[in-house]
Amino acid sequence: MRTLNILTVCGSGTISSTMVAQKLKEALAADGISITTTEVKPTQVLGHVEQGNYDFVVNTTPVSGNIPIPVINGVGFLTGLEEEEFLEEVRQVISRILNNEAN
Amino acid sequence: MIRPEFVVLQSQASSAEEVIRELSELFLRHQIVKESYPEAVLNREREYPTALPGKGFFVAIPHTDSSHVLESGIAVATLQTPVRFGLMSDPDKLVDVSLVFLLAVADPREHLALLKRLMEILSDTERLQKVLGASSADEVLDVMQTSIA
Repeated sequence: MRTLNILTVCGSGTISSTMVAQKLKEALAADGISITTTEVKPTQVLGHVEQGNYDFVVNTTPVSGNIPIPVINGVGFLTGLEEEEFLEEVRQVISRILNNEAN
Repeated sequence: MIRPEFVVLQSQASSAEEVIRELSELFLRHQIVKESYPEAVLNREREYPTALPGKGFFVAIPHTDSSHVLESGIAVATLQTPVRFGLMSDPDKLVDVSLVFLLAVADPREHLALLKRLMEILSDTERLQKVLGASSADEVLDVMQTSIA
């Protein structure tokens, strides 16, 4: 399976997005899924998505604009309160992406 | 990283700004942040607030760019009366925050381990309750350090 490329977003573009990125890497590694992540501020999302080859976005602060790839809210994952729900959504998005590529 | 002098118990701060200034002052006194740090945190908090839901109460993790930080640290305040912060996921929504972790992160990549452990604490209701009810700085350190090495 190919490595997925994920954009993580928070207000500073560093702290929360790095926490989410690291936690997601570990959670998905357990499923045998490897990812690369880039951490950005909300204002940098559209530019990155347009220029980079990202599969989906995980955000802890709201992201505005028309983002052409899936955007998944990562706050419940950050706090751990909705960890399973979040991971389930991520897995669904990933399998949709990979299925589309296979077809 | 976290020291007894970075812990404030039962702060009487009556706003997010007051508690951020109170904790920033501790960082400034110990010279782990630059003079620009408090304003940078406050500006960021206004634009991208940092309150997160815990189980039964709210926690805030104000912070700013590493460019204002000299050395990493975490300051903790429990509040006598909760103060209002905006929600990280919904900035226009104000919530009553009982526990504040002010973060000074010199380099997020280098401090992944610290951030990861902080996240463990944020998702551990029992541990948060212990910090919330702590009656001494050492008690807070004990709870934090079983996790933050």
